[in-house]
Amino acid sequence: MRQQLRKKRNSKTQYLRVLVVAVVLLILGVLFLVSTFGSRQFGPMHKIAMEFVGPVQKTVTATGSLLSSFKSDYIDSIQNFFKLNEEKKRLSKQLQETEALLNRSREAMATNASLRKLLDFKNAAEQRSIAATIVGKDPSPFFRSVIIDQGANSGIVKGSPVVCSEGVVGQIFTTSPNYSKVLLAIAPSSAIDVLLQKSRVRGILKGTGELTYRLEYILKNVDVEVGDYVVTAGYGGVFPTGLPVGIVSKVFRQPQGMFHEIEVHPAVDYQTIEHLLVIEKPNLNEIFEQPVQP
Amino acid sequence: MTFLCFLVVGTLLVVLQTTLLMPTPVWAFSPDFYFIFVAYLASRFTPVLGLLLVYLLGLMLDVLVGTMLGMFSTLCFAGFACIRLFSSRMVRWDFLYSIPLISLTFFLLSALVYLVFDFLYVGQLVTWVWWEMLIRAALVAAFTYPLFRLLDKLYTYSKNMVYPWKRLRVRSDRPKRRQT
Repeated sequence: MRQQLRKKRNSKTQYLRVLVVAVVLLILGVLFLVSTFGSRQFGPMHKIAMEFVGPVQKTVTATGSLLSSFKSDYIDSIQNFFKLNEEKKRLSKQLQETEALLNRSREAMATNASLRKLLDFKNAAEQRSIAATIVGKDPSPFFRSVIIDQGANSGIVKGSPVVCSEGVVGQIFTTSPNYSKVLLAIAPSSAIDVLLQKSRVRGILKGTGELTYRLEYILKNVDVEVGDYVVTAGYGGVFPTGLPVGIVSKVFRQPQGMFHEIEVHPAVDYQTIEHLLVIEKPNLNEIFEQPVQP
Repeated sequence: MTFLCFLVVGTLLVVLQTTLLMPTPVWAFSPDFYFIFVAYLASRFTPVLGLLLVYLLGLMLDVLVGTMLGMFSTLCFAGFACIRLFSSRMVRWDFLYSIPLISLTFFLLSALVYLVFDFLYVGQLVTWVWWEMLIRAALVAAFTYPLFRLLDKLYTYSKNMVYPWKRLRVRSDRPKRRQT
């Protein structure tokens, strides 16, 4: 009798166990589906997780770069010792060229300043920028994005433009308090309003997923040559005007169609990029609230 | 405790995957350690614990580095389900079959996930490159055995670990009550 009772109890316990497992699995599945397909928004749970793992990522990246800098400072310098003389000659020549270029630039700046004065041109207020370091990258081969160690606490908002000393890098697409994700300009979903510096013709620069851009909507009657500089147009208020984006590397002239097919080589070296500048987006309310001077 | 150990290891693997194994944003030759980890969970853990770990790992990857929320979760979840299904039908777990199985599963699921996401978000994904994906699948195959061995050691260690709170438990000298 007792054995029968125990058997009954055991079967009940087993049934309960299966039920609990099924409920847990169902909850997990729902959570999974909600987090996966519910929305593409970055919720508080995501932000907490990002804040939790971000510092570890930062430490690992810092250690890696420290090791690589140690290698470049000490080990590589021994290897390069014999190439120093050659390098010295090359650098002195480069220095002369740079000095000549600097003189020309000074002249251009002086001319520019006088012209601005002449036209009573208002100097655009200098935009504040935030220095950031790349701490992680998307391991998937289908996207091109990186994570930086500055977030909403530093004033970064979604859509802020990201640049480096060479030129445009991309745009912020998600932020948490201390970390942000940057969509690189080489990503296929990226599109930037640009100008051909020589002809001042406007076009749209799109990423290809590789280390090149594609310049679109440039009419065939426009004179485009390999080596032309491409800069940001500044329309739409995302990027400031005149930031270097790249150089035209190929122009495909085809008999069909209205537009040129243009390939642009990025000004930024995406293989060695480490430190970035995030330009703070101007607060439109502040601009409109400023009193108009007579 | 095994769960916690593997959660920490999973987190470290994610960090490693997104930092040192990805030297540049366009790097194609990084071994996908997270998928090998998912395969390990599918072959050694119970479904509930394994699923929980896979869920957390996928979420972590999506949140930390994913450009589109859900891509890594889908890949990890599908990988877990497939490998669990195949391994449950195996007479015994043998690396001779399991390494090609894991590599092939990774390749096919990557292709499937790419197709789905490319259909959902047209023109936002980088073009599929066959040789790149084949190299990644080969790297998964190459790193499966060493990583499995390492994780096996950790699994055994965490199972046999004597925890301080267990060591301090005072045993009563009183004989056990006879069961009636």
